[in-house]
Amino acid sequence: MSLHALEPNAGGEHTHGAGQRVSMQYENIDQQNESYLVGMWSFLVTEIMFFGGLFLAYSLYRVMYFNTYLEAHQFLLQYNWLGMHNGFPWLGTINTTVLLTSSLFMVLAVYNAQIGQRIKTILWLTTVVGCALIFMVVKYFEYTNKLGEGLYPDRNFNYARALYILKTEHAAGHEGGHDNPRANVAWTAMKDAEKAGAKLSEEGLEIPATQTRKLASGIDQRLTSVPGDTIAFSVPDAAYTRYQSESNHARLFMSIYFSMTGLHGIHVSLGIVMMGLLILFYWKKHPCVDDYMPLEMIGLYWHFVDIVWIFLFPLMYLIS
Amino acid sequence: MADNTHGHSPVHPAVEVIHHPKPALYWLTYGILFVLLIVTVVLYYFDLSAASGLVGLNFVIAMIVATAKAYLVVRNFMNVKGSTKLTFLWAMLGFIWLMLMAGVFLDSQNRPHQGGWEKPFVRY
Repeated sequence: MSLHALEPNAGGEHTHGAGQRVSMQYENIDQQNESYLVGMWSFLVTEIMFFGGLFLAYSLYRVMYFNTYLEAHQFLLQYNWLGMHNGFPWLGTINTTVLLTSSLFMVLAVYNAQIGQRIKTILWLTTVVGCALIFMVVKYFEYTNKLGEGLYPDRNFNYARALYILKTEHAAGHEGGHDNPRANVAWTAMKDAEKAGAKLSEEGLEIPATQTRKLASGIDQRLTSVPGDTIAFSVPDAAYTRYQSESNHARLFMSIYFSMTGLHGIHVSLGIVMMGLLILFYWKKHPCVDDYMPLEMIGLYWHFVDIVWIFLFPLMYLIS
Repeated sequence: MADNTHGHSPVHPAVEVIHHPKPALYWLTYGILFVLLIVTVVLYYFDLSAASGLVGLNFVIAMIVATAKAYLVVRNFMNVKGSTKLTFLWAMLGFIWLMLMAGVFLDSQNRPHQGGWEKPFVRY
């Protein structure tokens, strides 16, 4: 015997999805749907807690190191892709547009599922998946670009190299310097370091072998090799110290950037998988999608992913 | 016809009805969201703080616009407007958490300065 009974009030004064059935533990379809929704919102609340901690970390460090945040976010506006390196937040804007559009397509898919339009539901869901794939492709180009510039916050993080690229390749045409005055300050500090003996190149800051440093014990030691990130060197020069500090703060910004957008990307990827399964179930006329609520639940998840990006976009890409 | 209501009344008086909006509202919401997106990007190129003398005005307005966008998505796309009181309450729970986060933020801002970064490890 099935645990479900046909909804007796279907087609009444309020509309429900075609084929919705009431499980035996519920009074009617409204109570059942409400249970679905409360359960899903409980999950979304845990997601808000999850992302909330990251947003808090972002906010705290943004206040502490605002100048470096302001400078480092410029890296997110530079792309070696289709000539998009004029400082306009192209990739972030494209991705925001894509996600907002996908949210519209998702509610249209849910609406068509509610009125029993299976083929239209499949078509709208496919467009949502298409938007999600576009988002991930754009994100792929963005990430590879940042990794190529040495901005991934591991031991190869190379702030000097990123600044070099920002000031030379992408800032071509900005002869007077970058629009952001703070970037110019950092660049000046870099040049001071260069005068002090370091060599500034696309590979980063290279300290000549003749450069010496003084240890606390007073013994001079010769620097014979320079680590890849070139941040940890110490020469008694104010420019070096300033550069070192800003480099650490920029690394922190990039760390939070990769954490938050990466986590968001994982959510998008999971959404693609779930929507792909739903398309398959609708295509096969699987009994589990006789009820539109599974799609509505995935829809809520997808809108939440959209909301997270709505806040990420101005916080990461549009610091002014 | 068989009794398929399990002996219950078809409509329970304590259960609220979920109302679903029409597609026209979805398209209207999308249009407003798109306009707000344009506002967000345009705002980036105007230094309102310098013009008004209020520090962080750009950030505050950007967050207000983002919150308006999120409100529209929650209200119309996630259908909190047409949902039951219980669902509405559950949806608001997340914002209580965010208020706690704001409390932690304010606490950190009101503490005395405790120095900056430790000196990094130096390799030879």
